[in-house]
Amino acid sequence: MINRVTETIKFNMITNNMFNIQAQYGELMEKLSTQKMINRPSDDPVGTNDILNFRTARTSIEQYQSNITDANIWLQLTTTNISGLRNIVDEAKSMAISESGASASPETRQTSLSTLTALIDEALSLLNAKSGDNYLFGGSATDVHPFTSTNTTASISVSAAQANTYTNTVTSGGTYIPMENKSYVVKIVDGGTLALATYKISTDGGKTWGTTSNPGDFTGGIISNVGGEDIDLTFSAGTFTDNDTFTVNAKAAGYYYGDGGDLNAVIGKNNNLAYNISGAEAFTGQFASGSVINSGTGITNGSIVLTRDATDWHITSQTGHPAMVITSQTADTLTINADGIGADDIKINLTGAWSQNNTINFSTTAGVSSGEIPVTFKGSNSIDLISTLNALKSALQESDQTRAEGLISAQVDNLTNLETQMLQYQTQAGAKMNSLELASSNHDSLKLQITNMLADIENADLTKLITEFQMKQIAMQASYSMASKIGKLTIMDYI
Amino acid sequence: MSDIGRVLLTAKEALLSNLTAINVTGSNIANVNTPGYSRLRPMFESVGTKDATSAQGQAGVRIADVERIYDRFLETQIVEQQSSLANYSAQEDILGRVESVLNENAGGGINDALSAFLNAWGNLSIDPSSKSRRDMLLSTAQNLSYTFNQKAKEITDIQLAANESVADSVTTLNGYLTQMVKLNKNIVDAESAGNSASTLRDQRGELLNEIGKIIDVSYVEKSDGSLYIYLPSNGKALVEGINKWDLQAERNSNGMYDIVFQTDPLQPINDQINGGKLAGLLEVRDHAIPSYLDQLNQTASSIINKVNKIHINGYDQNGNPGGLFFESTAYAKDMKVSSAIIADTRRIAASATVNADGNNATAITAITSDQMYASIGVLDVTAVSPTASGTATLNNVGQAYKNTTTDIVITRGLTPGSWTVTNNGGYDSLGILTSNDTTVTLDLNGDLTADITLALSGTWADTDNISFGLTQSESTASIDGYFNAFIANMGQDVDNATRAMTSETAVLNQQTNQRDQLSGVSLDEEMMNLIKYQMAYGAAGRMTKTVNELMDILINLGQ
Repeated sequence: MINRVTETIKFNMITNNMFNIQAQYGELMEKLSTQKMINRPSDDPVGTNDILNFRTARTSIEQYQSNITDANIWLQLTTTNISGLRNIVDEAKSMAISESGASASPETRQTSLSTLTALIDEALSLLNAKSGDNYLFGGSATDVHPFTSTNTTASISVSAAQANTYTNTVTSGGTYIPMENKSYVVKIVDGGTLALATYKISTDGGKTWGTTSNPGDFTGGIISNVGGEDIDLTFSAGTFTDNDTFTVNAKAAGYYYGDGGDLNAVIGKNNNLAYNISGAEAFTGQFASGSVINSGTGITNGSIVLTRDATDWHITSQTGHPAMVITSQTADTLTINADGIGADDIKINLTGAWSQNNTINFSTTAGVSSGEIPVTFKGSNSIDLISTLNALKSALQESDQTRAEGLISAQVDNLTNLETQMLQYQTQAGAKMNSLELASSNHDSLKLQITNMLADIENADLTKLITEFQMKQIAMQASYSMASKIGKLTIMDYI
Repeated sequence: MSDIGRVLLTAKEALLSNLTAINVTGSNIANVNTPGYSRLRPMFESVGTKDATSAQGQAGVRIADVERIYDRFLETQIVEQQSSLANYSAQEDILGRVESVLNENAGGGINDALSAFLNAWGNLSIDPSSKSRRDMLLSTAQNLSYTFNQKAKEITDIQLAANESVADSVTTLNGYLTQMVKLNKNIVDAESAGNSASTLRDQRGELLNEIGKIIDVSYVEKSDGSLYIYLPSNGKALVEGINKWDLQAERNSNGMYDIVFQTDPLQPINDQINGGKLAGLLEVRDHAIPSYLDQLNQTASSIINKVNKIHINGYDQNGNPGGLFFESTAYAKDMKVSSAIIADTRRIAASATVNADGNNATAITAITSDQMYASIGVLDVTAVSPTASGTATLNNVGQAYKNTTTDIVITRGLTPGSWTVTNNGGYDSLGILTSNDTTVTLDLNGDLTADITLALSGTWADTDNISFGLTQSESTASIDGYFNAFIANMGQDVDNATRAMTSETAVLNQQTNQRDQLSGVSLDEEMMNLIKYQMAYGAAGRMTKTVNELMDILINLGQ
């Protein structure tokens, strides 16, 4: 209790109270002008933590959504292109059916040939389409032109990374014939001379690594059996530094330069979606073609079935060729001696990976000494698109009516299967788009929830604030008027 | 029997006494707004005898004393309260500035920069060959680094400003001590000569308040009127009468000022100061800000290490293995995108394989939900010597840690105990501080403190070597969660300081009011006193006139 009010007390009390009201007034003004209840961490530390967490969640949702949009664009292009390719295959199939029929003639085949050439060009341009700067169908190799029009044989090549300090030569050797495009990476763990350096090998393009070698394993400068395959790398003398990297590119025979890798987009917390359809799965795969390579008399009329067991091809049925033998077989060629004597007569070229119980059927005609023979096959994997189209193209170029018909009709099944195969991947792309849509709508509702919760904590309740503001205004007016009245009140007016 | 002279004398005494009283009232009125002024009160005292029948029998009046009205207990409380308030007020002021630097609520802070950075990785993951997305990523990375640099710098600047404030406050305090000694002398001189020193005492009270605002003190007034001032925590004297012991700000090895007595410059008394602005400044400078910087550094170094760790396992657009994305550092102030990436954004390792997929970028976007790096441990210590072995312990590696893959190797020379670093394991500033065949201490970051101690046993020979690596273990908090909690805690600190300041201010106001209630000047009261004294003066004047008339009568009697 104050029982002796002095001037200082009077004025201090008035000013202190005035300051208090002004401070509260200022706080309200800030909240009103920013329309936020929390303007700095100390306004509400717990609320601040929530706000920051919600904001982080919201920006990551925005990022997921932007990823979803990007992936969606990619998938739309993918579906459009696959559908375009299906149309091409469909057209090629109709062409094959009509050209293998009775009404076909060398003239009609000539016309169809030019149409097919244009179709193949169009197919290639669809296969090599890009989204942004990235090839749609190259698998994880988004910067490599994935499809070419000419067939290349399987190959192994090694390249040294630009950043390496090891500048001496490295060469690859070995007998391995790759069935799929793959990158093996050799990385130096501890640098040094050939005798001291250690290395490790990755068979998946450098993602995961095998065990590190022991010093001395390098002696002689040869790494053999890279990735468990018969691939040798030979290094000339020199000194390595840690992290020197050598990439072994194994390319399978065929038209494809990409790989079968996935591209992943983050579409949710701990939710990655592989959004691409790789050319390896959709458009490349098995293909078999055959040709007569000997002008001898071993070949008579007949039809032959070859079947593969776990490792090798065997003749499981034949007509007209009791002595027929497979004389040699590798992953990509079979040579067959039709009568069991003299030079080999028939060569079958294989593309893609073949497995047990796959079959190859072909028929032979007596007196044919060279040229292609109609081959049909039954594999367990995808069929190679460009091989099929090219086989049809070369069949159309065949001048002999009967053989042309045989060669053309041999592709009809393949084209039908291709259509189914591509439809399957088109559907898969559609399913991926569906899951993107689902994720996106989940994000939309989550984002709405977060925004609401954020607003609850952060946003100012204007009605409440304005009411408070008016109350404070009255309080402040009162304190001003009181200050002036008390200031004026003095005993001197009365004496 | 009464004496007419005596009556005149009494009237004169009354006139003079009331005039003095009016004079005192005048002083009070004049000083109504003087801070620390204690009002004065004239003490009237009757003199002479009240026996009107005696010759000298009339009670006169005199001003026995002009009393200075104050309460010593209240004064002490106010000085203590000033110390306490100044402490929180200094903290609130500086923490408020830190808060404005780290105000993430307004946006545009580290949280936003980090989100933008991670989103740029997300964008790149979908289109890893796009140059524009790579450039975008670089610019968000640079912005993130810049934001960390800037925040760290601004907080360090605030710390340095607080440090300068420490030195300034010490200088001010020394000035006050000098004045205090002068006042002590003047008060003793005046009072020993029998003069009033109330004005000087008021001044000394005010000065004591000012001293209390800088440092917490306890004091006693000696019988001669001089004031002795001590530091309450250790009883060391600042002022004893006319002697004083100045403080001094002495730079320590961290470049910060330690507070010492000038007479004892090697003995810092920082932790013995518990109140006043100095305590607040030291608290914020030595505890709050270093802890904020540490948390900022932890956040930055976790981001740097996490990104780098993933980045070096990826491949750039040329198919080369990724290098460091950020330069390796443990300090937010030094965070920087590696120069190789600034020079060529193709060097960004967005791909998880030598082919150009974007899967490494995808992996990097998830780092904030990853766990923070928390503590650092030593990998196996391998001693290449048949008969010897060693163990390593970490002392204060903390922020010296770098994300490197190579081991540290030290090798012994021919002379026993002579160890040299043969592989610094990526720690460019690695050095051996002390070495013998039982203990080797190593400094990782060039600050000349022992970061690692190796305890060795067995017999060591020439070319024996020891190798070990450092690993960082993870805490349970995610980077996001850690940083957000850090901001919230910082906000809590500011909030606490503000609340403490508000309540201390209220207490001080209360005490000041109590003091003013007793010692302050009330104009109303003074006006009433003035009237009172004026009336008494008038009455005494009238008495003189009456005596004069009596004298006239007396003189006329004789004619």
